[in-house]
Amino acid sequence: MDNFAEFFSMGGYASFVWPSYILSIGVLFWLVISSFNGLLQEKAKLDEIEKNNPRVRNISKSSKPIPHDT
Amino acid sequence: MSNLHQFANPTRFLKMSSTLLPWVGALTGFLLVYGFWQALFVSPPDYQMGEAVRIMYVHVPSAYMGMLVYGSMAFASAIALIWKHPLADIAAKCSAPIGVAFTGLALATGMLWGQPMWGTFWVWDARLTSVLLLFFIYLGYIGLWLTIEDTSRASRAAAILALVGSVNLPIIHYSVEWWNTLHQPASLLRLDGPTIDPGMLPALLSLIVGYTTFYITILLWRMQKELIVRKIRALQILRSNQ
Repeated sequence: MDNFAEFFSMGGYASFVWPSYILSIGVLFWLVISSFNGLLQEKAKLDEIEKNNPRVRNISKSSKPIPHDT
Repeated sequence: MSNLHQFANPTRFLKMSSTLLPWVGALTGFLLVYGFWQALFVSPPDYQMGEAVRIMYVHVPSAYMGMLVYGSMAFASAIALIWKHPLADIAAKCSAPIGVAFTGLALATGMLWGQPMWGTFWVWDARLTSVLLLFFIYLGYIGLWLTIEDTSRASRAAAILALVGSVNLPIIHYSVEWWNTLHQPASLLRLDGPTIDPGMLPALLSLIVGYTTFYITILLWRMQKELIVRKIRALQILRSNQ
């Protein structure tokens, strides 16, 4: 227990060392979460769009007329 | 005006980056865990500043990354301007938030280190001032992307800012040599070798490399996201034209 108290006090510099580490690890975590979450959200949006609008791959083989403005 | 053929190339990038990501991510995890363990539990206290030296292990990697990311951003911007490669453009744009976060961390941890060591959390010496300038240039760069609606105009303006601002990088690095600064001189990147206690090197080096692979991981995720956003936009334009 004493050892832990000594470690935690960081030679008296606890109020400088610990905020530095908490801030650093916090920012790293935030970058991970915001980036990965952002990617997942956009992937979901794209899946939704592609589900509602299946792409016709071979337009030349389709029997439907291609819409034109003439 | 984006046309769909631009996305033929990005499909290859999406595939390559998805293959690379788990490896880079795992390497990052290992390096950061090892690095933080070394930093907090194994590395020795400094004979002058005691345990406060542990701030160095989060301050120095952040500062390096603030500069490395900016350098990458400027390099990608040059490629985007000269060859108009769409991936270069996206790499630059996606790097900026990562770089501004690292630079902010460098400033904040520097202040937390300066207060007990120097008795002040800030001085307007050449090193601190030029890094603060770097922080503002990043913000300006991000601001250009956010405020200019047309993608190609935003890309051009941002690229020019990135390139003009890159003159700040050698100023930051050499500031401690060219001027009389409170910030200490280089103890790692020196012509006659590092002057740092070897017991501190495992923590410092693994966190520097770990922060670098971390940047690559986050960048790949953000580039993938940006490619998907642009694809969605193109599809919506196509749909509204039918």
